[in-house]
Amino acid sequence: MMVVVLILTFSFIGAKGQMVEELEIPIGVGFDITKASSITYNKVPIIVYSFEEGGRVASNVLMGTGLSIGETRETRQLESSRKFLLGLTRIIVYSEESARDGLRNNLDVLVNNPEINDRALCVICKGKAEDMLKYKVKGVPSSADYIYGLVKNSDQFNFMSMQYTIMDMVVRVDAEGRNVILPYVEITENGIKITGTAIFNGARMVGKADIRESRVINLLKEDKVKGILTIQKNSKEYIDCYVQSKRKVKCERKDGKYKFIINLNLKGKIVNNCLYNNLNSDVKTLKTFEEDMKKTAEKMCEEYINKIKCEYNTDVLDLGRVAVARYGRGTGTDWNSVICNSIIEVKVSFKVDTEGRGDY
Amino acid sequence: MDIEEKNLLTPSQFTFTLVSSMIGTGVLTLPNDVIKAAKQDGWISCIIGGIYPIYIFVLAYLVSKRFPKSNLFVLSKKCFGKLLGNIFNVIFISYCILEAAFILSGFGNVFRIYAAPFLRSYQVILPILIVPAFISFKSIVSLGRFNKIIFYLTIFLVFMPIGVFKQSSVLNIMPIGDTGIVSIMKGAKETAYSYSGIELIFLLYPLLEEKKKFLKCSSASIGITIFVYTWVTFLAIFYLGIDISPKFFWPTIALADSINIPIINSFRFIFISFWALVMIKGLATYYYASCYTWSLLVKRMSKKTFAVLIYLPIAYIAMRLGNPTLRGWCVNKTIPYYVAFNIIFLSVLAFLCHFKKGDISEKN
Repeated sequence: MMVVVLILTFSFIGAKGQMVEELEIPIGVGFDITKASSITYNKVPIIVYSFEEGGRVASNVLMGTGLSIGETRETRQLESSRKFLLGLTRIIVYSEESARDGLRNNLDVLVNNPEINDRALCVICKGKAEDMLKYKVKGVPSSADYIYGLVKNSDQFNFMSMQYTIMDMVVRVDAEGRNVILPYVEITENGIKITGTAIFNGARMVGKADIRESRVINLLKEDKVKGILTIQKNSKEYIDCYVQSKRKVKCERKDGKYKFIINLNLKGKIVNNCLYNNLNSDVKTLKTFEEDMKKTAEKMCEEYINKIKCEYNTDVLDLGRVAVARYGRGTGTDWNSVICNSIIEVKVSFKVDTEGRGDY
Repeated sequence: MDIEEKNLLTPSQFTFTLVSSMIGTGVLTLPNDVIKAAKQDGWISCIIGGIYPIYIFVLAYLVSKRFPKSNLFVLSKKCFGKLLGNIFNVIFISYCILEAAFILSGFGNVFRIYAAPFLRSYQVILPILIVPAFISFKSIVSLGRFNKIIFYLTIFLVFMPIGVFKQSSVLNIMPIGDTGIVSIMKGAKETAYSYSGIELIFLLYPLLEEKKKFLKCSSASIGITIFVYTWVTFLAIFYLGIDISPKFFWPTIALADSINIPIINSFRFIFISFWALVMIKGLATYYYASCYTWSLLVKRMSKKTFAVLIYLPIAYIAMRLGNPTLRGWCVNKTIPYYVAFNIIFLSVLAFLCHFKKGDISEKN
């Protein structure tokens, strides 16, 4: 019994417990790089909360600079007066430049450290991540909180699917036939805004799609996403429909050439209707509407499909994943280049699910 | 044999003790071992690998029919003679001690990464080892009870990562059976090391209270183990995929990330604490086996003496094993030989027992 007590006391001497006032809580992490001649400097600004007396929360940005990511920790500690408490990070902001340079080293650090919150959201930003974190937004303690909310709730519209956490990135970057896309944020006159999608080839960002194209990419890439589809004749006559998608991909191989058929099963909630008469009473009109909507959606996809297929030279839509699931893994096929030479067909089926309260 | 009537295991305690002899730290790394060989068909390998515990069990069943009250050490002396039998027994003891040390150091490594990075190696290993030492000091019944309670406590661990079904895709495990039978068998060979531990059945069966339930209990425990291994491997492939799973040292714990409970930021701490319990029960079983086998070999000294004596050696070996890479190297250098030894030793033993005069008279 004595031995037990002795060992226990001995083990717990020097255990580190600390008051919340003595801690700094990193809430957002940024990654910047600066290239000076042949040397690349890593800059890691971290926005931290510190709790001051009287329950006030203060946030400030600490900067770490170094040739390696480890070195940035050392230089950051030099200007920090408190101890770090990891695990509550909400957002990770990569500058476009660092993303185009490749994020493998960053991912390595994130996977290695078990204290990291794997649910932190990742975004790519225009310009410097430091500026993004230092940007003041009204009503929230820091811009990190604002971006977190922005991305977290993005899945309501625009067919975004909120698969942008660190874990989502980890399971996509090195997986065969998969590629990650991340939201692209910018500081505009009206504050911070999502302005598109960053497209990746492995751990390297290769392109940026604007928001119109992002809608199509998200619709074709992800399953169970939501967004608005519109048929518009003129400024007064149009119909909006809030659709939810189901995506299924089929893959065929003929003479070494691949053919992918993306089946989109859309179910819609009519938001407003100033286009069709008797939509509520006439089954025929409803059928015409469904047919029209189907064509609109197919047209929308076809408009961008060639651009998506070849411009980025990467398998944006995760089609390689479907092919490996059917024709075997580890064959050494480079899906990023195969996709451009394959045929992609989009087939849409559309059904009206609910029609709202009434029609005015 | 010198087994007192009161010191026997009830059928359920027997079942769960067998389970904890098989499930140790291996379950945390198993997905990576089989993915290396069998890719996305790793989970099939786990099912096929179940042949190994079933084989050992069949041997034990055949032997137990003729010698229901003699344990491994008595039988090996009977079959191989005193000298050779004792040499084999010592090898078996070293196997138990090494397994205990491997579990302990594996436990220390995981725990110091996920739960308590501020602790030093000995600060984790020494206090934790007190639990198995204490249990072994008491009796087999304490071990049985401990295994039973912990099993019920941790049963939800197996079903908890069910959340992965929401997030992952069946595409990760496709195409099924594409890697070919050779790769799947290679994967199955890898799982044999995880299933090793079932050999303790030769020590345990004389301790079972109701001999009639031997078949039922053993098959239940083997079934549970095969299910857990297959399930965990399947989930790791299903959730992380075969390209990503090997990037983690312990992919099973990475599964915890699929659970999103609003208040708890990181579920891993809870997950790892419960896995720690699973590992401690495996550790306790091997610790007990080591003490028990020593006391069978050296008749003059009691089990209690050995429970105290082997505490420091096991802790020392565990600490020397060090980091996961070094430990993995040591495991790969030793366990395969032990598994081979166990298969040959136990097969020959069962074969020889078949021709020996059984203690039928004891049975009646």
